Amino acid sequence: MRFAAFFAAVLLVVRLVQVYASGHGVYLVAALAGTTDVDAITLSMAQYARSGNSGLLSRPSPLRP
Amino acid sequence: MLASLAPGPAGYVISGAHSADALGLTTELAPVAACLLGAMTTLGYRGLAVGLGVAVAAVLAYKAAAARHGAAARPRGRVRGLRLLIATFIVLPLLPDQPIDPWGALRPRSLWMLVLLISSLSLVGYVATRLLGANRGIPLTGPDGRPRVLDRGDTGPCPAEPRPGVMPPPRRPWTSGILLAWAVMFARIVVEVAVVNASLLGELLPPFVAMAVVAAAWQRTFAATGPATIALPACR
Repeated sequence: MRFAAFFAAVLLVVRLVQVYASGHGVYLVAALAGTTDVDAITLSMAQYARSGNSGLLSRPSPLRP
Repeated sequence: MLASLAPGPAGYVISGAHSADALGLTTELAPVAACLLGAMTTLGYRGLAVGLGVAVAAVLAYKAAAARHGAAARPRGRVRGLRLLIATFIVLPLLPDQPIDPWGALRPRSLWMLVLLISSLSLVGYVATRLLGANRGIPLTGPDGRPRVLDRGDTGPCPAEPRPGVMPPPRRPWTSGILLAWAVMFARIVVEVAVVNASLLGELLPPFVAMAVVAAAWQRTFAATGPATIALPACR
């Protein structure tokens, strides 16, 4: 149940960042979510990728040289 | 129909043979419920019958656990499995499939299915550790050295200190255990992605396989120099 709540929060935050923030915001969310639980952010990203939100990551990763 | 009726009287007779006190209202109602649920499936209410069957099994399991260990009994493996069945066959069908937020991010049913995926993976880890004999001390090294840390959580609180008589564990096998757990964690993430969106696997597999191989190989170096087995403090 705790995971369900956390997962819902991650899904919502990723979606909000996608709608309101720049492309780099998603990477920030991914990095922050990775500090707590990798399952939630993994499932969120995989699900959004399936639903065709290709504009989600329109900017290159900040890790890219 | 006859086949569905048979277990009822059989269970009644077996319970009565053990002890006359074992016969109660629950014992009498359980076969009746089983018979009615079987009838429901033949009448076309299969989904509802499965849900109610899980609910009946859960009530019986909780009652048996409470009778054996008291009301504050910890959930054992069977009850954990039943929880998952409840979440699958009772909760899931009740959840709406439409988004419940203005941004379309939260679809309760698909969210719950992914929660079930994670719960199933955790249950597999739990069952594996139980089958490997978590309470008898797991061999942390060797070919079958799959440590308790494979199960990421929910194994219950462990005592703060090892039991008397158990040697304080050396560090190297613990390092080996952590690395092995992470090698499995990479595999776990690959399974999750494969279930949700297999099209990403092509891009994810090379780094994940590389990381898992490095972790597993490094684990073997620690495992090879550590002791054969160490006893873990019993949990649960």
